[in-house]
Amino acid sequence: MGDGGFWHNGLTSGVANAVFNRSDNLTIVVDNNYTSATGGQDILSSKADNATRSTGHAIERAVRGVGVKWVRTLRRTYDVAGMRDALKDALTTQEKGPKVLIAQSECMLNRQRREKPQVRKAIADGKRMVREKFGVDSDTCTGDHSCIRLSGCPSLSIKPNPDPLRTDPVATVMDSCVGCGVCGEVSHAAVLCPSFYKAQIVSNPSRWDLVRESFRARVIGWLQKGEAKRRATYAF
Amino acid sequence: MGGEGGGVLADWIVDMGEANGYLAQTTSVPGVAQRTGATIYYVELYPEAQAEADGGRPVLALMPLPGDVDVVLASELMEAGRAVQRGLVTRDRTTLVASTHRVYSIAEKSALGDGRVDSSELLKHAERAAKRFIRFDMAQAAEASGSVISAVLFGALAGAGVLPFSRAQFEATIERGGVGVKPSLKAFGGAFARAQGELAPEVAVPEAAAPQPRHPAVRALVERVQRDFPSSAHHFLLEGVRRLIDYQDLDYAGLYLDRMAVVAALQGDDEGRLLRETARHLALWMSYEDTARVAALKTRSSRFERVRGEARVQDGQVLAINEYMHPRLQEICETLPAGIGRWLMDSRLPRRLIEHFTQKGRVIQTSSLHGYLMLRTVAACKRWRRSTLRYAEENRRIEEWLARIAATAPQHPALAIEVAQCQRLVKGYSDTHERGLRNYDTVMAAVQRAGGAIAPATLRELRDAALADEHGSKLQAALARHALA
Repeated sequence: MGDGGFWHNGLTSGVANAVFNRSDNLTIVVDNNYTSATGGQDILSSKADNATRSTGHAIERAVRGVGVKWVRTLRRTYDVAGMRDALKDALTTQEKGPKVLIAQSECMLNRQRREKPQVRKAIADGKRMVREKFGVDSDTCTGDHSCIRLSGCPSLSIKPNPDPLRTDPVATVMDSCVGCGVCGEVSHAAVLCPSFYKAQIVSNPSRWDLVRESFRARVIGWLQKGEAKRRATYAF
Repeated sequence: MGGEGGGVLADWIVDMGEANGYLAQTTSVPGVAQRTGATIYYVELYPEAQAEADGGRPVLALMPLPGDVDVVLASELMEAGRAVQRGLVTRDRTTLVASTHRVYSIAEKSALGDGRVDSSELLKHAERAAKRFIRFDMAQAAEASGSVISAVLFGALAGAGVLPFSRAQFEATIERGGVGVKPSLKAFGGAFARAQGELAPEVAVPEAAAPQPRHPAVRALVERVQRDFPSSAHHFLLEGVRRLIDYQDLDYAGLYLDRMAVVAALQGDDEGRLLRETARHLALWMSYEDTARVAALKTRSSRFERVRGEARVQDGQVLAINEYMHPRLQEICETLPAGIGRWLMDSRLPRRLIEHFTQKGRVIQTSSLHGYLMLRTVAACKRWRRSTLRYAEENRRIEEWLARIAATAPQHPALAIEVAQCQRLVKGYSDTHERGLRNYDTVMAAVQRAGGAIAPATLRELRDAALADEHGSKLQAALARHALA
C-alpha cells in the first residue's frame, strides 16, 4: 500500500487486521512522502513543514503502535540489491506474525520540482554542480527490452532502431531522466546487458576538473584518432 | 500527460482571455494520471461584453461534455486517440490540434520484440472524427526551438485561427508570463507557421550513397557483391560486408560472402526475398555481441560524441561517461582462447576466484584513462576471436541454420524464409541470450520433427509466441496447439 493509502485506510484494514488475525504476511508500504494519487498533497508522515497541518508522524511508529513487531524502514529504495535482501529477509525469517517493510524515498516528481530551480540558481551563481543522466547505447542494444520490463521507469522507452539490419526498436532514456540509477542497478542485479551508461555533466568545473579533463582528452583523443584512422581505411 | 506544461498552457489561455475582454475559467484534475490516463485541462471563455449586455454572470462548466467542445489540444498521438474515444472530438464542431509523436505505453515498451501500435491507424481515426485536424510532430518542434511542447501547442492553437484573438495577443500573453519567454516565442512562431500550412512537410529520408571503397581488398569485396548477387540484395549485403569488416576483418567478410553465395545459388527464390532476409540475419549472427565487441563499441570517438549529444553537454561543461557492466565467468571464458577458456571453466580455485570477483556488477569510467585503457585491452581480444569457445559454438549453429535453409528452400521457399527469420530469436546478453537460444533450439527441433510438413505461417506463429513472453509458456501452448510439442 502507498503511504496515502496507509493513512487513509490501510493502517486499520490492512496492518491492524493482520495483527488481530495473527497473519504471517508481509505488508510493503510504498512511502514517497506525499499522497501522490490525488496530486501530491501532504499527509501525516510527510517530511515537509506545513503551516496548517501537523506532519512528521512516522509510519513506523504507527505500525508498532498497533502491535507489529517486525518493522524495517529502507531509506534508499533505488538500491535494488538492498531491497531484494530486505524482502528475502522478511519472507524467510522464522519470526511469526505480520511483517511491515516501509520503502521510503521521496517522490521524484516533487523532489525535482523543488530542486531544479535551486540547481539552476546555483549554476547561474557559478557553483560547481554535477548532473547525472543515464542512457542506452543503441549499437549494443539488441531490442529485447528486459530492462524496461524489470524497471518501471517512465523515462525508459523505445525508439526506432538506427541499425539498418535490425527491425526491433531499441531502448532509450528520454530527457526526463533524473539520474536515480535504478536502470543501471537493475541491469547489474539481473545481469542484463552492458548497454547502460551514466553520464555525469559538471557545470562550472573547477580548475582541477579542467586540468584532468584536458590531459585525458589529449591521451584518449590520440588513441581514439589512431583507431578511427585504421577503421577509415576500410570504410566505404 | 503530466510534466508537459499543461497547466501553463491552460493558464496562458485564461490570461489571454481575461486580458482581452473575456471571462475565463479553467479546471483540471491534477495527479490522476496514474488511474485515468492524462490530465484534462478544461477552459471555458465567455465574452464579458455579452455578459454585461445580458445583465448577469455566466455559469461556466467544470467539465467538457461530448458534443460540446470546440477545440481539443492533445500533446501526444495516443492521447488524441483517447480524446476521440471519449467523444470529445465531434465532426460538427471540434478542431483537433495534436502532436503526431508517440510516447509508448508499458505494454508497447515491454514487448520482447516489437509491440508498437500503428500510428497511421490512430491518425485515420482522428481525421474521421474531427471537423479539422491539425497535426505535426510537436515534440520535435519543441526540441528544435529549445522550448517545451506547451509553447508549440499554443502556437498551433493560434495558427488554427479558431480563437478570436490575434497573433500579437497570443504573443503578449507569453511575454506576460515571464518564464522562458524567448524560447517559448520561437516555438510559438514555428508552430504558428506549421499550423497555417506554410511550412513544407517533413524531410524525406535521403537515398543511400553509392559505395566508395578506398582500400583495394574492400573494393574487391564490393565488386564481388555487385557482380555475383542480384541488385535487390545489394543494400543488405553491402551493409553486412561493412559490419563484418568492422567486427573482425576482411577475411571474415569474405566468409560471409562465401556463405551468401551458397544461398544465392539455391533454387526457388523468385523475388529474392530469401536472399535478402538471409543476408540480413547472417550478418547479424556473424557479428554476435561478445565482450570484445561491446568494449570496442564503447571506446570509439563517435560513441563519445553521441553520448555528448544525448546528455546535452554544453561548452564549458565537463563530461564523464560510466558504463554499467556485469561480466560473468562465462563472458570471461568466451573472450579467452578456447584452451585457456576450457581450462578456466574446469579448474577449481581460479574459477571460484573469478566467480567471487564477478558477483557484483561494475561501473567503469570509460572517460578516465584507466577505464579507457582497460576497455581497449578487452577490445583487443578480438584478434584471437576465431580461437574462442564462443566462436566455435556460434559457427556450429550458423552452419546448421544455413544447412536447414538450403535443405528447405528448393521445395518450400516460403518456409525457408521463415527459418531464416528465426535468427531474430537469438539476441541479447547472458540470461537473455540463453533464453533466446533455448527458444531457437525448441523451435528448430519442432521444425525437424515435422519434417517438411510445417506451414510457414505456423513457424511464424511459433516465433511470435517465443517473443511474446519470457517464460516460454506461450511457445509451449503454441507447440501443443499444433501438435509439435
